[in-house]
Amino acid sequence: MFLKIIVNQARQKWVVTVLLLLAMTALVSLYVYIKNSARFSNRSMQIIMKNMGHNVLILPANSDPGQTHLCGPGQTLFSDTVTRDMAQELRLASKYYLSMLQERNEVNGKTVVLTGIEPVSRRDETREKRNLVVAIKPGRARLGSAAAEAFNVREGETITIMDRSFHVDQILSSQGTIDDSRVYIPLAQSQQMLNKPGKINAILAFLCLSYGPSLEKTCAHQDKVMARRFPGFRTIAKTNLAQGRYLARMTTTRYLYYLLGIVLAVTVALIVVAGVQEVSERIREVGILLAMGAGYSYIVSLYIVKLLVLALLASTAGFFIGSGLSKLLLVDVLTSNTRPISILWNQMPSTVVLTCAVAIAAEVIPMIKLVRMDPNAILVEE
Amino acid sequence: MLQLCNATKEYRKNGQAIYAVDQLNLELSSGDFAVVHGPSGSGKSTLLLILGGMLPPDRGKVLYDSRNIYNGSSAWRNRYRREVVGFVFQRFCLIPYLTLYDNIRIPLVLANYKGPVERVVRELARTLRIEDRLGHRPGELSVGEQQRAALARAIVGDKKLILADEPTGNLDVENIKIVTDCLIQLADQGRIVVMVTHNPSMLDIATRSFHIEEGNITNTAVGNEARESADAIR
Repeated sequence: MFLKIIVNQARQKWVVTVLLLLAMTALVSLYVYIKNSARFSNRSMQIIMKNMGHNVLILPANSDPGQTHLCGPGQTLFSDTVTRDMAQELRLASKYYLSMLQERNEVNGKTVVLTGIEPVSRRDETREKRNLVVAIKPGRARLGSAAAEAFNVREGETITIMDRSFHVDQILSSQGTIDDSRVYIPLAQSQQMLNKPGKINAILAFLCLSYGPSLEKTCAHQDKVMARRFPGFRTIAKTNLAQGRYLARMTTTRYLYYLLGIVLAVTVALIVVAGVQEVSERIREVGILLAMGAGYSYIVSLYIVKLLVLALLASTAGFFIGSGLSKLLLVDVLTSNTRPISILWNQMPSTVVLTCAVAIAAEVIPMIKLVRMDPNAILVEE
Repeated sequence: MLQLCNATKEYRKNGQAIYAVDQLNLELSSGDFAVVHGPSGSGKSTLLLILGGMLPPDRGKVLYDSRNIYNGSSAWRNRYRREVVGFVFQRFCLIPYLTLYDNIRIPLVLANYKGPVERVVRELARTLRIEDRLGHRPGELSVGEQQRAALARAIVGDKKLILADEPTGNLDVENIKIVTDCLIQLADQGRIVVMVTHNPSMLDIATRSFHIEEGNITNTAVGNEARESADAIR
């Protein structure tokens, strides 16, 4: 009987029922789409930005960044244990460290930069992103386009530097920067070859923007922690890259959440208005049920259960619509993806719970009105 | 036994107190068929709601089997309405989107009735000559059929107190007879029936009658006195 009343009430006001269902479905669809966008497109953006290079350079405080840029002999050397120490400090906003030892050389009359690299991970880095900085195996090399030209090699061939042979794993596309002249090899091998054991001359890293509400605040936080924990070092932000990454994050996530807020407000308002109107129109039925001995808890539960059923339907439909939209719309946008866009099943329970919570919260006002109404006035008129 | 002791219900309008029921006293026993009559706005319907546990009086008591129904919890009062009281309203108050069968069985469902619901509903419907209408919704029925269905809903489940507010107000002669016969039979079976009406002929069948004006009982009659009172009103 309980369900029969609910179903018949919903059928009797089917326009309102469909409207509520659509509003809640739209809300959930947008929520799921935004979550997917945040997950897939934000990471895709990160990779694009990462392809443009790390956005911060960490150097000894007394070093000359110009020498680092020129890869010249005036670069300061310091211990590679510093990178590992930094990776232990979780308060720093920098992550995805790369220890680097670089030195300019001449090959066939052309300049190449021998660059030893070694990624150093922080334990709170995601596995997915950690793969972005790929370590080079011993005896292997990765070449910039100009360096490959200087050695006159192709991928899969072997080069010899300082009497050591390296198998060329990859030739990178031209960037129009000094990176085109780099020969990337494992850090340990470069340290042996350049006779600088345990030494590096720069640390590259990514500034993570979750450490502050803006890029400026994040940089300030980074400087504060660096000054306290690593006083002999400084962080130089490549502002254009960091700003680009910050804007990418804003556009892919934050603006969409503002939109979600508007849709949420409209949906809640719709539930409240529809609920208040329905309660007012059904005051006679409330009186009849009370006269037959039903308590307010029974009558309130009629409305709550009906809305919960709608919320369950809407959250399920919205989950699939939002996921479908993500697959359909994001696939052309994300040119550099970390993983295929897929349905994130682990988001489903939280989506259902959130939808039900929003529905119940929005129904509070109509239910207060229901309990405060006096059906006796109507019954006396009857 | 149902007793009303000095019950008063007042409303405020423009700061002025209006007494719907003013220090009313009455006592009804099993088998009583009480007719309450009086002009519109005299407090008849308010009296029924007070007796039915729907509207607490501002002062005074309502005792059912010596227990003040407004002293207990709201859960107890809900139970009182579920198990003791059956309401019949002038405009039937059937739930429009449920069939007659479902309308009639609601009180049984609310009371968690363990017996054969369908048999009980069908027997009652047969008595009130609406058995072939059980699958219809109220909007598909005549006025008389709707009132008989409302009566069936009020008395299903062996209710001890039937409160009927103008149950014959919109009916033709044939339906008035069906409804009044049913109410008389209920009183004969030992239930308390309280009927509010403007129809003086109802006093002929009453065992008790009360005339209310401005919230006060101005005249009471018992048995033959009630019938004489009807003649006087006519």
